[in-house]
Amino acid sequence: MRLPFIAFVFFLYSFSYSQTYKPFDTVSVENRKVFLNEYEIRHKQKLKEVKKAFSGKIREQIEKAYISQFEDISRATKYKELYFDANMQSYLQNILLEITLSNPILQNQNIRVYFSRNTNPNAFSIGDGTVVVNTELLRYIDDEAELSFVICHEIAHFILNHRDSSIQEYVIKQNGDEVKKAEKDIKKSKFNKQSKSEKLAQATIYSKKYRSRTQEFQADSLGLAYFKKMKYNNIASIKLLKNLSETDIELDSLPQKSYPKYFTTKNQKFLKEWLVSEDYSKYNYSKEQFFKWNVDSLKTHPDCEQRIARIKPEVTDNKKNYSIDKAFFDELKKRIAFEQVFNYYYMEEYGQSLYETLKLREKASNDKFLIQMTTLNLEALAKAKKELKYNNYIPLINPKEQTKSQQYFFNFMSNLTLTEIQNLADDYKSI
Amino acid sequence: MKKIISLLFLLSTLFSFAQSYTVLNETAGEIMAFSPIYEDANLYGYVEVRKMNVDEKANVTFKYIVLDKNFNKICTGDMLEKQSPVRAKRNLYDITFSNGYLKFDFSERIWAFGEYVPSRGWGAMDSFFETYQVLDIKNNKIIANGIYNSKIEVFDKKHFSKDDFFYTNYPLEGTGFLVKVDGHHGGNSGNERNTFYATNFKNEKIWEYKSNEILKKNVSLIINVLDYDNQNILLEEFNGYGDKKDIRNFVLLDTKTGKELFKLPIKGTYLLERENVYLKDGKIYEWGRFFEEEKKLLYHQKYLYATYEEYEKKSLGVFQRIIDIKSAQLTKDKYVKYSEFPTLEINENGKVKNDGFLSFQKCTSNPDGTFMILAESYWQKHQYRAYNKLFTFLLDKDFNPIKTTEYEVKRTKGYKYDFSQRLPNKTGRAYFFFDKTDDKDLELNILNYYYKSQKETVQKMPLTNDESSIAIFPAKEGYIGIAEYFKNPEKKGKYMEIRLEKLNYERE
Repeated sequence: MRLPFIAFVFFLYSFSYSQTYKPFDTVSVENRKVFLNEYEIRHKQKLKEVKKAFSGKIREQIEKAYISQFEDISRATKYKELYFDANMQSYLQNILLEITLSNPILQNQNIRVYFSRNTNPNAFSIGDGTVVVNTELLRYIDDEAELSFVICHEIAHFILNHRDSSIQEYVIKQNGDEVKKAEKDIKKSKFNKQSKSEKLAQATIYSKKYRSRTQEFQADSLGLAYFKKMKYNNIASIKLLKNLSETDIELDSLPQKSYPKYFTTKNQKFLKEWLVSEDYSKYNYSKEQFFKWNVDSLKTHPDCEQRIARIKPEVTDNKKNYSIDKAFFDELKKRIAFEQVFNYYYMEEYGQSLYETLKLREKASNDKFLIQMTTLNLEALAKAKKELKYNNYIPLINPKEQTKSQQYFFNFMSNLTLTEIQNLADDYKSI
Repeated sequence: MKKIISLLFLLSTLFSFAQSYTVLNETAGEIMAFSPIYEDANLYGYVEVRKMNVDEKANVTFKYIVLDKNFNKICTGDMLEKQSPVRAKRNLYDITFSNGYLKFDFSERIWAFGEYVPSRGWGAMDSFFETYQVLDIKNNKIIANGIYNSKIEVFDKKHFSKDDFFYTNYPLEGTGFLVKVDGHHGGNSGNERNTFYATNFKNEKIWEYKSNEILKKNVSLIINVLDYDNQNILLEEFNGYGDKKDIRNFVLLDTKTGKELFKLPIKGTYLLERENVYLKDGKIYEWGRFFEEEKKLLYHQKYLYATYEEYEKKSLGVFQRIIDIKSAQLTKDKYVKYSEFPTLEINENGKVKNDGFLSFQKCTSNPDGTFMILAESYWQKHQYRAYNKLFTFLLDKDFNPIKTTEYEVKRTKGYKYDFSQRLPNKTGRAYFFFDKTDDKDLELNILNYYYKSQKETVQKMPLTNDESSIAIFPAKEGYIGIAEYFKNPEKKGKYMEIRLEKLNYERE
């Protein structure tokens, strides 16, 4: 259940006399309502089109896909994942205006762009002209030019009608004679049922992923075409792809020597028992896939190197250094680490939020906002511990996938008892 | 981070709604087992086995996935088995873990008219053509495989009649596996069919053991494995039927050599009902309830009594017997009458005032030498037992009761206690039992017993709520596994999640 946002904002504003970070506001009830209404209208229009163009089971399944997506986006919007902050919207609108002015063909396409709190470093096109950029992505890009290329890429997905073609082609294929025949054969088979099914499943999934990767190449290409017409240095397209290849690398870490500093409070001393770590040395982790399928064939996106290789011949470093509002972008970049601390908290990723908060405190140990976030996260974690839901927020150790710093933090947090977390939360609250 | 370990779910994230469910199911294979694996009473991890493909040459492919204690995948691979041409299904029937090795046992059963049917007639063994495969987890390699019964060369009708035995495996820490050979019932049993042998991890035989009891014709000897560790194997042998001679012995073997260290006749003053027997620190511990003496019987046979009431009326208290392994002597033979339980209004036959008879669920020994017994009281109804109260009894090193604690619980059909495990950092023990709330919804209760302070606390967790229903399962030390199923998956964005939660405890 989400913390009442208004209460949190009030909590923060009560400290506004001090220099403390204020997250971007998403209260905007009216804007959100308008968005949802308009989104619903477009969604219903799409369903009408589907009803006209298809029939029977195929129509049913296509409708289901659109409805499922509509519900996901609506839910995310109702939970205030999308930003409707006036300044952020204005900035994005200016970039969008620049894109459409440079590419008149896009002017009547009714495109809109939003930032989202979602903590995945990603951007996506809903398929109805709405483009969403997750603010987490801003951590990995260097300038406004890269952001503009991201938006151009997503617009290209929309123009190329990738969403519709993905859904419709897939459903039609699955209901086609070839697949039906294969399924019938599997059902009737006495032997080799599993291997036949796996072969069919593999073919289906490989095909789907291949289509997805192809679409990414197409969006890169068309997106670049739009981008090149703008005033940016189009080398930013390559820089972006290079930066994207590093989104799974942790940008910084939390030093072990800092833990006593953050976890010693008035009524809670630092305990050596918190540092005891589980032993995973006896496990020898294999890299094999369960089904021994081709890993590359399962990717929805091509490797960044491949993407760079494809667009490189079209890219020239024109040495330009253009931006619409460098100051705003720089301000966003400066704020993003703090904003994401709040976003992780807002998205109920309390463990991650606390981790990011403490990393930031390495540079600003007494920052009021960061101390507030420490308090809020500890309170939320104490509540979760009491209800035996702690693992929802503090993941188990996975030596294959987590950095050493992450493993240390998660291990540390898992060693705190309920009383100790509560003591820490209470003491932080009284600061 | 939540783990969704169902492979069906993994595949379904790759498929869309449009994919046939049949194809999805078939691709994922048929689940044979998802089991926790323990190393010396600590959780090592989990293993999942699926039956994948069966081809026209009767080759059956089984797939295993081994997971660590946090459900992270360690290794995966295939095992190929041969199926007989009769109308049979070859399936996994057992998994044994020892020192980083997994032994998978397979067998067949006749499949006809959409179900399993007995292969040899009523009371006979149904499974046959038993085979094994041993996996070295560290190297992800099958290092041994074969057919248990050396008389079986091929899986066909001719060899079917020769397949008289079935095999049970036990882990032997530091050594390999202990295999017990049993014969099917009926006919001339004797003790030929009670053979034990130990193998190393490559399934090479190290030693063999057979009882030296001399039996008359048509007398069967039953030998059960009671406990085992890296030093000893504790067996109990007794005659099943056919002879009035009363054989009942504890037999202790050396784990590494199979040498019989002693055979100790079990005698007693009273009639006993054993709850548990285990090896610990060079001793054999046995505990349970004792009853009025019955001639010619040592251990209780409930079928002798027409009703539970009659049977319970003979109950007198709890006993503990300790045998010192080195001297092979019974060093303690303790009988504690019900009247000795402090602050409990209980009659001499174990009937608690207003609450019914006591049913003992668990006895654990604590690091300081004391013991904790958990019991529930019940009333016997026509077709079920109504359990209405929970008790813990703390006993000192000499098995003298020193403290009784009563817990008010709701009345339930069936007992409440499920399992226990150690608290984090070995500070105590947690006992899990299920109770009902005032609204008659199921509720998990975790009773923490702290070794240092001897304090007991109870934490409650509802298992059903508006959003989900919850199932629990044992996990690594200090943790509990929770599987939560959501009633509105569209709203939640998922059908279920699995998480491992550290038990809440006080640091002492």
